[in-house]
Amino acid sequence: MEYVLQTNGLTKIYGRAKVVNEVSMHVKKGSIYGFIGKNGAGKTTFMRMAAGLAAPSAGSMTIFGSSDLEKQRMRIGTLIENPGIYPGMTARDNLEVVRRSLGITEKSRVDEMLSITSLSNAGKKKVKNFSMGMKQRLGIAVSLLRNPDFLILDEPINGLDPAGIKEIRDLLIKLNHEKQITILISSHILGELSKIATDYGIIREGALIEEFGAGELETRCRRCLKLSVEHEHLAAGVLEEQLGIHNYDVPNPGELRVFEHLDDTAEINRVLIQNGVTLRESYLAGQDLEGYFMQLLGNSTGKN
Amino acid sequence: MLCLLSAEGYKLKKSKSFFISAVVMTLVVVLMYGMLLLLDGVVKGEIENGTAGVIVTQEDRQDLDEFESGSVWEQIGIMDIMRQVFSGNLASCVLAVYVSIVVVSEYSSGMIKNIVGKGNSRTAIFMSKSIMAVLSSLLLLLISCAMVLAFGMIFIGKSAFAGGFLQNLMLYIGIQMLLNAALAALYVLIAEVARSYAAGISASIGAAVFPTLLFTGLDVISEKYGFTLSSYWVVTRSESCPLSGITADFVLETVLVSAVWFLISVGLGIWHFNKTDVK
Repeated sequence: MEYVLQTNGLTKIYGRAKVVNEVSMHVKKGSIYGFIGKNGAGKTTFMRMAAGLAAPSAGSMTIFGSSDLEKQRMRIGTLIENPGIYPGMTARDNLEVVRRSLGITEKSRVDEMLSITSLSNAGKKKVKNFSMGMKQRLGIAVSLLRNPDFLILDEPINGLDPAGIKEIRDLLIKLNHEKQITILISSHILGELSKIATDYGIIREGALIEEFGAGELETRCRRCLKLSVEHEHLAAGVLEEQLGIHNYDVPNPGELRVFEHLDDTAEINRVLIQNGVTLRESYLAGQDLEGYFMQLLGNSTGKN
Repeated sequence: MLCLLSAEGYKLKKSKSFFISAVVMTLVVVLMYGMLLLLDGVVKGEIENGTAGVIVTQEDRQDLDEFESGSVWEQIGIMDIMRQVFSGNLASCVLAVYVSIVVVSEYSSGMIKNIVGKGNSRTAIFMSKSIMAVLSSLLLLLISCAMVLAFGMIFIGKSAFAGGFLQNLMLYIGIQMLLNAALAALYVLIAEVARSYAAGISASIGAAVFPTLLFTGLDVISEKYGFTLSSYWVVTRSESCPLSGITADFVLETVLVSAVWFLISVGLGIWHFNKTDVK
């Protein structure tokens, strides 16, 4: 597997507080990695370390498989916390300052970026008169200026209205699909994140508690009949032979998840018991993505 | 480094704070000449004594009577006004505000995040900002000098430029530029450490004022050992710079004092910028 960003026990300590605690993250090439965590969980600090704005207290990382971070970071575009732009300057001037700072010789890149982010008509308008969405898009334009292979975006849809969120979402999908840019994105709007992310990492109190793919998330959130039995092999045999059910899995010993015939769960229970299966528990489960994320983040408001 | 300097130059061209600072410096020069004009009118009896707070005492009149015309313009020359610009805390205060705004705006706008970690070394980034802040500060001072000369030509006339004036002027401005370059570098260091407008501006003004008082006080002790401590502080040295008869020793000492303060400020700035996270 080719990773764009791979960290190993990355840690950041401020005073006595371990803000990021031994995070080992794996961002696959070509993926959109949704980084999820509550406020203060350590997302921004982690991203700042990845972007080279903060030095790790411990741990290591590789970018594009290399430990020469200074060199590899030239291939990264970042938008961390707020867009880094001068409010008293126009969008074009802001992009021009960054273009010159980064030593980009093609002057046309500025117009190109304004066009990609739909800011061509606002190029001469001062940024202080921009809407929140326009500022975020300009921030993304700045991060794209050097044609990066990897984007690190911290809450890029924060404070946007639904139309603004859709614009950013479409832009990110386009960049990922058309330019094969790998994206690490954090957001509080979990439902929105689930529309674009192909992989997820959950951070809680500085520690990365889980990483999984979008397929796995779908399975976890899928509506199913959860069965707790004494002998899962016996139960599986009954499901297949007596009920003709093949769409099920065994996530843990003594536990089965059935994904079909959910409109007749009483019949499933009856047949299992009739065939000698010791059925401890049987219930319908499944939740929306947001509920699932909240459960992972340690919030009791998760819906079952 | 060149690309960073090019970006800094572009920012300077678009910078409001530079143009506002230049206007402030010009207005203060105009105000100085305006006050002298008022004073001249009071002395000549054309304007009532006490107008706009300008009071001429009998002692002042006696001093002026020594001159043929009894005009203020015969007693005060362009170099005296030049000294007011550099030694009256005007330059140091305007530069403190200007440099703090220029440096801190990088952090408050977040622009610094677009540059750090993108292939340029932190040392090069800090150096480019220091160089541009110092050069633009010197440009502000040169604008003030030009204004002093232009208004001097209007109010005093060509006679003000007679004799060895030009040589003294060039030497005086050269020394002031050196000392203020070191002071501007110190302001860059303070703003980089403070990273907030209020803290940066107040600490910079404090840095210009308090060491002067401290070193002058310590002179009582240092003079017992045969040297004047305050003469090694850029602000005190700027204030005590003679208007004429500047010796080669004074110039050499000034170059050394400026170089030491400049290098200390830039060195500490680079060290701090390299070890501190960008938020």
